[in-house]
Amino acid sequence: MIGIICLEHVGLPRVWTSEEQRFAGSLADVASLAIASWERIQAQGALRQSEELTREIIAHALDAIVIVNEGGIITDWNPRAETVFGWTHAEALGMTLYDSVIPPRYHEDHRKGMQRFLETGEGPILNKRIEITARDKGGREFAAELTISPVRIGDSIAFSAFVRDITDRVRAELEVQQLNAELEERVEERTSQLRAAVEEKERLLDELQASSVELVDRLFELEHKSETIQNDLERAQVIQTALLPAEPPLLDGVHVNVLYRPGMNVGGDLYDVRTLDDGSLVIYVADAAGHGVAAAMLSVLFKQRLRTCDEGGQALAPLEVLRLVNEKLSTDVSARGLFLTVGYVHLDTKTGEMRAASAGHTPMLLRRANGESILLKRTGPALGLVKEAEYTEHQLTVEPGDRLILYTDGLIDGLEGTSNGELLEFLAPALTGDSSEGPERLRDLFRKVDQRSKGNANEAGRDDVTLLMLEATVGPCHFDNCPAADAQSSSRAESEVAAETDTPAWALWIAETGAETHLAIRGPGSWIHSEIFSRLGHAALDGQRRLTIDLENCTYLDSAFLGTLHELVATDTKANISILRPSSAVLELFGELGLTDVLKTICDGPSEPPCEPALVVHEPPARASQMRLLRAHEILSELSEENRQRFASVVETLRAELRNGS
Amino acid sequence: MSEENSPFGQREDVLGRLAKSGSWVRGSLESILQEVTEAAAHTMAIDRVNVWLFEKSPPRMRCIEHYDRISREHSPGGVELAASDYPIYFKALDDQRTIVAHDAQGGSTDPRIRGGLSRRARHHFNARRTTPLWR
Repeated sequence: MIGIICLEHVGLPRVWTSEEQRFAGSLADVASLAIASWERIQAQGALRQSEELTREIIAHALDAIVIVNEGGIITDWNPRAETVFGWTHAEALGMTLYDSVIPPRYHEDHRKGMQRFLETGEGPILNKRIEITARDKGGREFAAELTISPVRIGDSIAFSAFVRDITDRVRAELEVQQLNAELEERVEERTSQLRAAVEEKERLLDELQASSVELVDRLFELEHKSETIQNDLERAQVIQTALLPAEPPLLDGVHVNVLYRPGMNVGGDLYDVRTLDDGSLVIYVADAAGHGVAAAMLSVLFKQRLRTCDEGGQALAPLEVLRLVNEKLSTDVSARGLFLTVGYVHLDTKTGEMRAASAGHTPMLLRRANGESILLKRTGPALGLVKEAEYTEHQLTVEPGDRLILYTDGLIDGLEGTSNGELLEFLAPALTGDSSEGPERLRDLFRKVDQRSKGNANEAGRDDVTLLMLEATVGPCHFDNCPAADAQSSSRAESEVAAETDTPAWALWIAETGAETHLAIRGPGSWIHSEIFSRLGHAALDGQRRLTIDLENCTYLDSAFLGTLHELVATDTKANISILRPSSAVLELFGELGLTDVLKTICDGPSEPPCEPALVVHEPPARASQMRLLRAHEILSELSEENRQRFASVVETLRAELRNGS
Repeated sequence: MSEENSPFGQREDVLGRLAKSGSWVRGSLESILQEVTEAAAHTMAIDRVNVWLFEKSPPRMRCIEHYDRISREHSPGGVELAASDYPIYFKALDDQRTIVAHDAQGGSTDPRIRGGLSRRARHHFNARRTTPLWR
């Protein structure tokens, strides 16, 4: 029952006849029919709309939609299917899937699948999205995505197939796969390259390390050799100085003042003032070419070969003296660059007759008492250059009050090319004034030379300077052979000899108790040991222990070690540090660097360790080693352009690593 | 001839005319129901004829066509009667094909009428006949 029709009579009561009731029933049936008809019309309209909507959806679907019945016959085919497969709607209807879209090689599988579904209601590809190979009207096969859904309509079954051409997508996927493969290949290739580069770098680093070790060894070796050479030079200097006359001879009517200053390196200056048996006086100033041991040896050889008298004891003429010694030296020593200049004078102090010869030497200057100046220039070549050389000589008479000055070229170093007038002007201060002031005037002259050399960049190369002035007046002789330098050289030589014999290598010994740490340094302390020394020292101070630093056997401290020592002392606020018995050389270093705090800690107490000492074994700090390596390479690079190019990358790498590590 | 005295043949004619009405073709439910209510009112001389449809949620009845023979006016009604308000009446509709009340005012003893219509509603008519619509 869907409703009622209600008849209402107004007024008197009314009896409804059966006819009226049947008529009312008939009217109700008509109304029911009308309502049912209207509802059906409405439903049909909705159905039509639904069907239209479905058709529109199918018509405009982006997928090909194919409807087939259970016999595989195509019953619907949308426009997209026409585009994808090439068959028109009209052509497709009535065809089978085998005829239209399924490649022949899949026909059998498809038949079996259909058969299985019809028998069991199951199909492995139904209601799933799968990828297949389809074909179009022209036989072209292409990748397609397929979804098949069975639709049961009454007793029959249809299948709706949604097909999408995924050729582009598959191609894109293949391209992506290919790109991925290429990328992986490139990554692998790049990885291999990087691995090879890393291995190469490691190999180079190993080589560099080995090279660095070798270089450090060589550097140490060079330093050792340099030290040895320096020691030899200093000893040579000592020997050479010993060749100089220590005491002036007794002279009659004349006196001689001498100032001798060795250069930074041992040189070849030599002089002598001697009286002969006949009472005459011989003076000479010699200058061996170059510097170093060779020059010193040549000076020694010259002195040994020099003959001032003949076999009868008569004084030989200066020209003969030079000829003879030249002949001997040329015979004994024949090497390029090995020669010697000499200013040689023989003076008869009774008559004043003076004979002077010069073998390539700087001009001698005779200053007359009346103010006249006479330059006595060379009378022959330097000794050792030409074996058959002949010499002439100057012959003059020295009058009372005259002054004669001989000097080596170290005095006029830097004045080359000056005129005679300028030379006389330069030497004039030494040749004037009171006779008694002779030594001081010579020193004044030397100071000018020394100051001039300090103003030059080549300070280290200042030559020996020898000044010899003879005055024809009675007076005391004074030979200033630089006793201070002599003492310094001797001291240095002695300390080095001691170091070589007693402490050939560096070592740090430690003896520690609860109250004291005793550190004994043996040999030269350098940057290599400063780190371990600093750590042990600070550990002692931190532990409130008394720290004794025994330098009795320490031969030398470099700046890094000195700085470390100073730092350690500076942190010692409780005066727990005592430095024992530093050598004079080390003490001098403290003074030179102004390490006053360190100096205050020095005491002469017993140096016995509080217990049995142990040798400290340690590895040099890496960074310090790097810095040392850098310095070593820089030094080697400075030696030659070839070395500079060879080690340029090494120096740059080490500098960069130090910068990065800082 | 008055409508009250219409012979049987007239009712058959009315039914025949309704069956041939053009409203069927036009598919207008409103027109057919109006023809039905007019035919009922005038053929049987009934003052008011209403068509009600049941609706399930919630159970109720809604008037979709009302015809007043005196004023000859149709209205869509729109009145609703909830089943919860008239349980006996709705029960009677379920059980019987037709409910006939010959004296609705005096027949207040009939529980179907008494439970189905309020006194205010009942005083407007004195005889009532309810005929179900079937599908």
